[in-house]
Amino acid sequence: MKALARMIGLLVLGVAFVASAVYVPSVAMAADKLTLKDGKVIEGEIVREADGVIWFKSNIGTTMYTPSEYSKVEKDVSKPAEENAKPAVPAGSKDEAKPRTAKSGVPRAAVLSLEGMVGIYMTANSIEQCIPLLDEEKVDILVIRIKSGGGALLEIQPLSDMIHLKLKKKYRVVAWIESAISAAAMTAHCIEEIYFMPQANYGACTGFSGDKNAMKGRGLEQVLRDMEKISARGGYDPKIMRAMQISGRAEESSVLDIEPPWGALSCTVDPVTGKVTYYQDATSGEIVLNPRAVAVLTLNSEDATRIRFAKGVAATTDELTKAMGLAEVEWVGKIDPLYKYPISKAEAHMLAFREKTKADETGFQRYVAVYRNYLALAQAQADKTERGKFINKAREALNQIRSMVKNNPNFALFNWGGIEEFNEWVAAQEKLMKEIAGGGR
Amino acid sequence: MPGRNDQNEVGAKAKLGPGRFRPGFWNGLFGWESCLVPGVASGWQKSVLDRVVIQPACECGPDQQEEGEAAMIKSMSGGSGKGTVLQRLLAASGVAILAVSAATTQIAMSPVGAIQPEKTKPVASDEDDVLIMKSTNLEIRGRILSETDTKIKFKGVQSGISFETEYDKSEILTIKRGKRAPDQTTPGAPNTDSVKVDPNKVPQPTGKEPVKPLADQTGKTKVYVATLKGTFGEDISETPLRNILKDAASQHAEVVIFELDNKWEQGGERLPDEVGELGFVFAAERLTPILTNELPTIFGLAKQPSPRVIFWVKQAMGASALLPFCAKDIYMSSDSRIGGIGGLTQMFKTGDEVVKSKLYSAHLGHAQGWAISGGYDPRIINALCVVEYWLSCKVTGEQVEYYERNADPLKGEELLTDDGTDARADTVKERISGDGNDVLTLDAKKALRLRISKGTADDLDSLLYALKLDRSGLRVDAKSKSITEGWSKQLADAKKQYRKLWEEAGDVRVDAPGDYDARTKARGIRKRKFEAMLSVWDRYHEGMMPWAPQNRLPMEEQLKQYIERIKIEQNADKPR
Repeated sequence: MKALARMIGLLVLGVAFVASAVYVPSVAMAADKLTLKDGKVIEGEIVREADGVIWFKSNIGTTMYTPSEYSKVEKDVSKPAEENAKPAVPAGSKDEAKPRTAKSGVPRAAVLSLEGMVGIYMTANSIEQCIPLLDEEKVDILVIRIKSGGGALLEIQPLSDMIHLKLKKKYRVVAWIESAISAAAMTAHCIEEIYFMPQANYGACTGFSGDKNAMKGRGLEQVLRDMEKISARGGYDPKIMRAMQISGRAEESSVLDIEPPWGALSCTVDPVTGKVTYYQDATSGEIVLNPRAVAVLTLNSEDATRIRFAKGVAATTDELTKAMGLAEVEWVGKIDPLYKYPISKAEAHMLAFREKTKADETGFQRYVAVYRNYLALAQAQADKTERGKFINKAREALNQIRSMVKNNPNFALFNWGGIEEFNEWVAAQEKLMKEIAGGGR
Repeated sequence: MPGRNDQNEVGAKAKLGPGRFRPGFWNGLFGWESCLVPGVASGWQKSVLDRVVIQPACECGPDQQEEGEAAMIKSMSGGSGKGTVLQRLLAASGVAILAVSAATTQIAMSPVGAIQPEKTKPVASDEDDVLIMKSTNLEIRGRILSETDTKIKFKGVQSGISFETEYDKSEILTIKRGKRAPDQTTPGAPNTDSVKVDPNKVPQPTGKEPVKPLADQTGKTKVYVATLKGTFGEDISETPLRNILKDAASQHAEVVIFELDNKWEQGGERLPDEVGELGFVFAAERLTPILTNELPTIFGLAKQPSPRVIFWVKQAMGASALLPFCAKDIYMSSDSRIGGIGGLTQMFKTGDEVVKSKLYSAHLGHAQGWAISGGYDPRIINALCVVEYWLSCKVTGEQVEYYERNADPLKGEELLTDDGTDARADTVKERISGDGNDVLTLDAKKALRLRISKGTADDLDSLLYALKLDRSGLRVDAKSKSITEGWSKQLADAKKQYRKLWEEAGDVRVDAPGDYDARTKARGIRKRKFEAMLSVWDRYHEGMMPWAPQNRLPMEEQLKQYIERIKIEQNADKPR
């Protein structure tokens, strides 16, 4: 029960993180006009440009448009007409987002892989450590390659904030999905530009704990609400994520102590404009997405492109380059025949992070057992010198635990409740060892 | 265990009590793997402080094991087993149970048969007409000599023997007309290609994709044939698959044919079709990325373009059913089956329905992805996996339309699977005969009709003939057999060795007079046994799961803990 109580505590902590995060656009409205391929004209302000991709803020929020989606850009329409009809150009034309290209006009792209359990292998902290390395290599386009079966709720918001509030401000951020299940899909959902690999899957975001106990009631309502906000960050209809979070069958969702609608989903794609209209039921739209064979939505590459959720399908970086609408791109990093993409400094850092995390995750209980054993042995020694020898051995094991937390602070979160608690515990162990060494115990 | 509570106090002083560490928790609130990985998740759930293991757990019941532990304490501490400092300390501490170089030999491929009728012209080419027969699903190649509304006079070659005969058109499923000069067209035949491809649909194998026209200096296409046979996850596992691809790349193979024939039995008895293998997606996921992701890398390292990959299925049941869908070309033998994964939505017995739906969805998403990467309609995967899923189809020429509902026979639709409920549930007889439709099991006929299989071949010669490689192919798979069979043998030997080492480690006893030196010697022997086990694990672990936990044998981390434990024992026992 205690473990459950702590688990709920952490869950609430995760929810609190989500609830407190409110994205506040920092740019005031101005008078730019964007003409879409379907003829629709949007007024608002270009808040960012990179390689022809435009982030356009209007009264419905900020939306990203790729060159294939718009036909004309008019900046500051109050100025004389000849200055207005400027074509969309790479970010290099704007001082704020000047591309740091090695070859003039050719954007530099890097792949950063996020793999494994969210919260342990996929963490906001590990991404943040990569930012200086991405800057060092003058990266313009950051391709986040995701392969994860999900993980902890409490890491979703920090990851979303890291991508939305930090990475997107510096780079054109692109998600390249191999597999994004559950918390991994919820992480990617703040990215406007998502590409799928042919074998990709994306969804199945139902929260649970223990032996398949579903999140219910207020906690679930909160996560549903939080994911609506994250959907807005990515420019996605919130009905999509709802269909990934709760069942499309009333009998499965009605017991979750939440308000309808449930997670059924259908949509209609306008054949002329390409506009997709979603319905939170399985009857109103022409394309039924959920429920089908099963009742919680997971998108495959076919469906994702059919409903224009994914911007394209790419198996290789060459295909991705084309799908991104780029004639040319410089992939940053060293060629490693073992990988399908060049390994940038940031990616090398990420690979090393995961390798150590793996070793620590499997070895953690051993580190603890060794520490405890040597501590106990030290305590049992009558001779001070002998005690000192065993204390040294115990300290070695303690240092392994420290190193583990230094590499991945989330180990402290999951095992001690937080970094402060971990530091307190380490201090207590130091004190204990000192006492034992001095014969005080 | 006597004295344990007292000794836990030592642990308590270190403030590392139970509950303080919650390794199980990080398996996540939103993850899915932890629900299924056999032997691992459950191991993690066990607290580090919950067990005292001093002697390796032998193959005995828990009570016997505890006796064994006590005996080990006694033996290793060299005392009576009561009250020694070492024993108390050991009892207090906890250890969790946790879970080619290229052969240059090239074998010239033998022709299909001794008799070849037209020496001046290749037997199989794009010029050939192909008849697919309704009754046998066999492809017959040759030339249509004449044709009426109801009959076809045909000259062809089957199994190397030329023949000339007349067929009633009602006996023929499909007529594929070969490409030839206008003056060569068959009298009376429409001058059109029978293949119709709807560009809006998922690319379906049509049988019309050209054989990759790559050839070496001899003009022959290099063909590598490998047999994947045995237990999926053990005999058919990562190492042999990678080694096959590496060898194929080093031999510059342009076509790689995997003959897949997995074991589908329990206790020596063949399993029925409807038995759904649990955890099949996780099992398959060990191998599918090798085909979808690693293959281009492996061939790239050898500076070779990716080969055309063909699965020739003899049996693909359970997790192995998903492998062929990673390849664009599937051929089957006439008695083959693809299936045994119909239990997806019966996989979990406990928990909230919505969570089960989430997990089923995640599983299905993975399986669908592999099918899409191979160019197959993902709805086929749904029908293979989900009992409650309706799927019907309409085959028009080479085009297959699928509908996620009951079939309308008036429109020429065919029911593939119903929802398996009430009166629609398959009877026992249907299940035994394999004629049920609660879930889809693809036999050669059905797969061919649905254009999933490109052809039916019962022997390699027939397959190569169907692939038009019987004369234009050059076999470069001299090492293939030794790779696959060698792995199976090595794995079987490794398992024997692993178990033997474990038993030997448990049998180590302290020699008389039982002093420090004798205890040191015993610990050294045991430690070396564990290290040897680690070495075996390192090389063969992919084939040892779930065999090792099922046989109550330790896995890697557990062995490392035992070794650490011995080091601590030795340190503690040192005379002072």
